[in-house]
Amino acid sequence: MTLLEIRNLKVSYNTRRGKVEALSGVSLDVKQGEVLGVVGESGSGKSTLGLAIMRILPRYSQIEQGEIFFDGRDILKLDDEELREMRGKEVSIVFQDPYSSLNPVRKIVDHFIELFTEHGYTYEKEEIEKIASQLLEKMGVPPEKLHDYPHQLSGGQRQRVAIALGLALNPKLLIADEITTALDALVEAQIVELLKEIKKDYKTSIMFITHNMGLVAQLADRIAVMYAGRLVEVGKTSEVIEKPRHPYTRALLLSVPRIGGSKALQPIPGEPPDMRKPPSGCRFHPRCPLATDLCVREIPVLRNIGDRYVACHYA
Amino acid sequence: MRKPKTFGEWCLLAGGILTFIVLLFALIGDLIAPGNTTSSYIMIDGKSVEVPPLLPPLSRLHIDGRTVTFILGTDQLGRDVFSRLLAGARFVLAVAFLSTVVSTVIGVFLGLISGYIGGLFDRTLSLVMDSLYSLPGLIVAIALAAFLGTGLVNMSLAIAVAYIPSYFRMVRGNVLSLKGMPFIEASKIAGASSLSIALRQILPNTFPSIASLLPITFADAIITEAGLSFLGLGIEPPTPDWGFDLNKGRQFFLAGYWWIGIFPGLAIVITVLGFLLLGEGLNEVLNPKRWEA
Amino acid sequence: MGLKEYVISRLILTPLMLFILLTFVFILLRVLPGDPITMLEGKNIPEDVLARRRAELGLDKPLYVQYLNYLYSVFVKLDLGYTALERIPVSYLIMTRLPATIELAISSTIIAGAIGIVIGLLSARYQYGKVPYFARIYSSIVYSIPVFYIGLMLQAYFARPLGLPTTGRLSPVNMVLADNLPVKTGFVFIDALFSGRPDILFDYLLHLSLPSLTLGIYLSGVFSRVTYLSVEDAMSQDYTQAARGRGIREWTIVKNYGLRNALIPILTMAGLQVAALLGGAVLTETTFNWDGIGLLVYEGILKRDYAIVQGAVTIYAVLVAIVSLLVDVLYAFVDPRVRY
Repeated sequence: MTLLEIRNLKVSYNTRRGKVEALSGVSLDVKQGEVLGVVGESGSGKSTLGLAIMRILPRYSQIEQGEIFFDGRDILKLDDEELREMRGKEVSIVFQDPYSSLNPVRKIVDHFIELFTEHGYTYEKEEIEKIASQLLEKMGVPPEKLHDYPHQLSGGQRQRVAIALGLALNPKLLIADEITTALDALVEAQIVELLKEIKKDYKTSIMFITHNMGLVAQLADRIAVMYAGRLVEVGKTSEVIEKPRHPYTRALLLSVPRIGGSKALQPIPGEPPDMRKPPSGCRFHPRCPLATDLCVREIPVLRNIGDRYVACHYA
Repeated sequence: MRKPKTFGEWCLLAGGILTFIVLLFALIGDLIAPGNTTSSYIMIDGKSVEVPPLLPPLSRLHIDGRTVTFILGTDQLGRDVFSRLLAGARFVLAVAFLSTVVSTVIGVFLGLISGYIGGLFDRTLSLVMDSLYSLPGLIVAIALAAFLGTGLVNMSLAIAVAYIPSYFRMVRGNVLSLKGMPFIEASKIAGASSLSIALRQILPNTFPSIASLLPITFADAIITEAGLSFLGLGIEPPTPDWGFDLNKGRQFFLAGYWWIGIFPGLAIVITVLGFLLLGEGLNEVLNPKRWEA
Repeated sequence: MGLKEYVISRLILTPLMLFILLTFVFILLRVLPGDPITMLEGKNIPEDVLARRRAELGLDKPLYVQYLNYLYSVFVKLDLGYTALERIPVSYLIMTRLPATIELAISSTIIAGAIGIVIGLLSARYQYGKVPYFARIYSSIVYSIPVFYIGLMLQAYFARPLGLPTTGRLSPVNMVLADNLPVKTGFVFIDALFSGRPDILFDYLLHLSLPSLTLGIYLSGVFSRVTYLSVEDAMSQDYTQAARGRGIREWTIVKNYGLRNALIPILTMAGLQVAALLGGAVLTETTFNWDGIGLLVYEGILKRDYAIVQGAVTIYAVLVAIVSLLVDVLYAFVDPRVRY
C-alpha cells in the first residue's frame, strides 16, 4: 500500500560560495491513493524533494546518501533509460511557473503527441488528439485550445495543461511543486478543486508541495512539515491542524491569514537560516520560543507519538 | 595571481598574453630587426648595403665581419619581412585604435542622447543606424576609403563609421532599460537635471557593456583594415601593412616564396585572436550570465 | 495579426529601408570630404578634363539635385551609370556578374550552416562536457583568420596537392562552351544541369568548391558561435526541465526544445550574416578570381572607376534590403508569437 518510501535522503548543491545541504536525512512515505501535503518555507528543501524523486536534480547537485523506493523499486539504482521511462508515466511532476513549462513554439496538441510517442505508444495522431481533448475538458480547458500555442492561453489554463500532461499516461504519483503559487487566488482555488477530483476519479497519489498551509488543509490527507532541510512533523491533516505538536507547525498555523478572522497575524520571528551554515542541533532553535541548550546541542530525531511523527525535544 | 578557474578567465589570460606579446613586438621590435622596412638597403656602419630580394627565412648576410639575420626572410624588393611585420603592427594597431576610439565616442554619445531623449528623434536615428548596421562593414569602409583617400587617419575614419551603429545600439538599449529604473526616478524627483542624470547616472552603468564590446571592435577593425589594404585601399605603397603584404605575397606564394605572404597573415591571426579572447574573457567577467545555484 | 497582415506590413517597410540605405550610399559617396574625381583620376590630370568628368557624372550640380537624380536613376530608370573607360552600363555589368556571387553565397551559406548547426547541436547535447569549449575556441580562431588568408591556405595546401582548380568559375574551355549553352540564365549550375552537360557541371563544382569552402569556413565562425549560444540559452530554459520531467529523450529535447527555440535568434543572426557574406564575398572573389560582384568592386577600385564602385554598393544595399524582408517573413513561420 505504500507507494513511495524515502529513507534518510541527503541532497546537497554545489554553489559558488560553498556546498549547501538542501536535504539532511529525510524519511517519508506516500501511500497509494493519498494526498500528502509537504509544507515549508523557501529553502526548506521541499522542492528539492520533488526533484530528487523524479531524479531530475540539477547538474551541480548530488544525492549524498539515502534510498528512494518507488513501487518497490530502488530508483536510485535505475539507469538513465529506465528513469526516462519512469518519468511522465509512473511519476509526473508539475512545476510552479506556468509560463515556462510548455514549449513556446509548439502547439498544445503537439505536446501530447510528443509525450505519447516518446513513451513508445503507437497511437494515431487522431487518437491522441481525442484523448488529449477529453483530458483538457476534464481539466476545465476548452478543447479548442488544443490547436493553440502556449502564449495564447492564460496562466491558469497553461497550468491545467501541464497537469493534463502529467496525468495523460496515468501515473501512480503526481508531484505538484508549488503549482498554484504563481496564480491568483480564484484560479488557485479552482486548481485545488481540480486536484480533489483527480484524486477521486483517478486514484492518483499526489505529493502537494507548497508553503501555503491553507491550501494543504483543504486538500491533503496527511501533512509533512519541513524546515531547513529536515522533517519536523508528519501526521494526519485534521489532527496536525487541530493539535500541532512542533513549535514550527504551530507558528505556521498562526501565521495563516483567515478571512473573517479577528486574530492578528503572528509572523514567525527571525529569518530562515542560511543553508550554507545551518544552525547546530535543532535548526529551528534560533526562532523557537521553547529553545534550550539541549536544542542547540542535539539534533532532535523524528520520533513516533501515536500516529504522529515529531522532531522536537519538547513535543 | 591565482590560476584561472573558469573558461572566461582562461580566455582573459590567453588573450592578455597574446596582446601583450604583440604590443611588445610593435614597440621594441626595431631593436632586434634589421629595419629596412621600406627600402632594400640597410645601413651597416654608415655604409648602405643592398639586400638581395626573396631571401628565405633565417638567411644571414655577412658584411665586413658583421652578420645581419633576416629572421623571416626578405620580400621581392629586398625588404626585411620581419621589420615590415613590426612596422605593420604599429600601423595596424594605430588604425584600429583610432577607429575604435572614434566609433566608440560617437556611437556612445549618439546612443546616449537618442535613448534618453526618445521620441521622433530617437526613432529616426535608430532607423538610420539600423540601416547602416545592416550594410556590410567592409562595404561601408570600402565606399568611404575610396573617397576619403589614403593615410592612417582616413583609413581609420572609414573603418570607424562601420562600427558606430554597434555602440549606438548597445548603449541605446542600455539607456532604454535603465531609464525606467527606480533610481532614475528618484534622481529626477530629487531635482537632478537631465544632463546630469544622463552623464552621472546612466552613462557609468553602460560601461560594462561598452568595455566588453571594445576588444571585439578592436579585433574587427584590424580585420577590416586588413581587408581594405588587401584590396589596395587606404595605404600608399611603401607603407608596411599586413593586409597589403599578404596580397603581394599571394603572387609569390605559388612560385614557392611562401614567407612573404604567410607571416603577415599569421600576424593578423595572432593579434586578432589575442584581442578576441581578451574580449571574451572580459565579457564573462563583467557580465556573468551563468552562475551555479 | 495573422500571417498575411504581417507579411504585408513588412513589404511596406522594405522600400522605406531601401530608401534609407540608398540615402546612405549617397551620403557616403558624395557628401564626404574629398573630391571623388581627383581621388580616382589622379592628381596630374588637367583641370578641364576633370571638370568635364564631373559634369558627366553630374557632380557639378547642387547636392540635392544630385540626390534626386540618384534616386530617380536607381528607382525609376534602374540606371547605375556607365563605366569610365568602356562606357558599358554599370547595371549590365552587375546583372551579368550577379549570378556568380549568388551561387557563391548560397553554397557558402550551406557549408557555414552545416558546420554551425552541427557544432551547435553537439554543444547542446553535451553541454556539460568539453564540447562547448571546443566550439568557442573554434569560432574564435576562425573569426580571427582573414577570409583571404583562409583562401590562400586552401589554395596552397589543399588545392595544389589535390589538383583542384584555384581560380575562376570554369576552365577556359568550358567557359566558352558555357556561353553557348541552350539554357542560359547566367547561373552555371542551372545552365549546365538543364542543358544536359554534366561535364561542365562537374568542372564548375570543382571550381566552386574552394571559394565556397573558404567563405563557408569564414562564416561558420560566427554561425557556430551564435548557434551554440542560442541553443545553450534555449536549453537552460525551464521548459527543457519540464520536458525531461515528462520523460522525453535528451536528443528529442535538443531538437524540439533547444534548436527549435534557438532558430529565432539564429535567424536574426543569419540575416545579419548576409551583410558579412557580401563583404567577405568581395575578398573571396578577389582571391579566387571568381567572377562576381565582389571581383567587380575590386576591379573598380583598381581602375579607379567611380561608377562601378557606386553601382556595386547600391546593389549591395538592395540585396541587404531584400534579405531583411525575407528574414522578417521567415520569422513569422518560425516564431508563432509573432503571428498571433
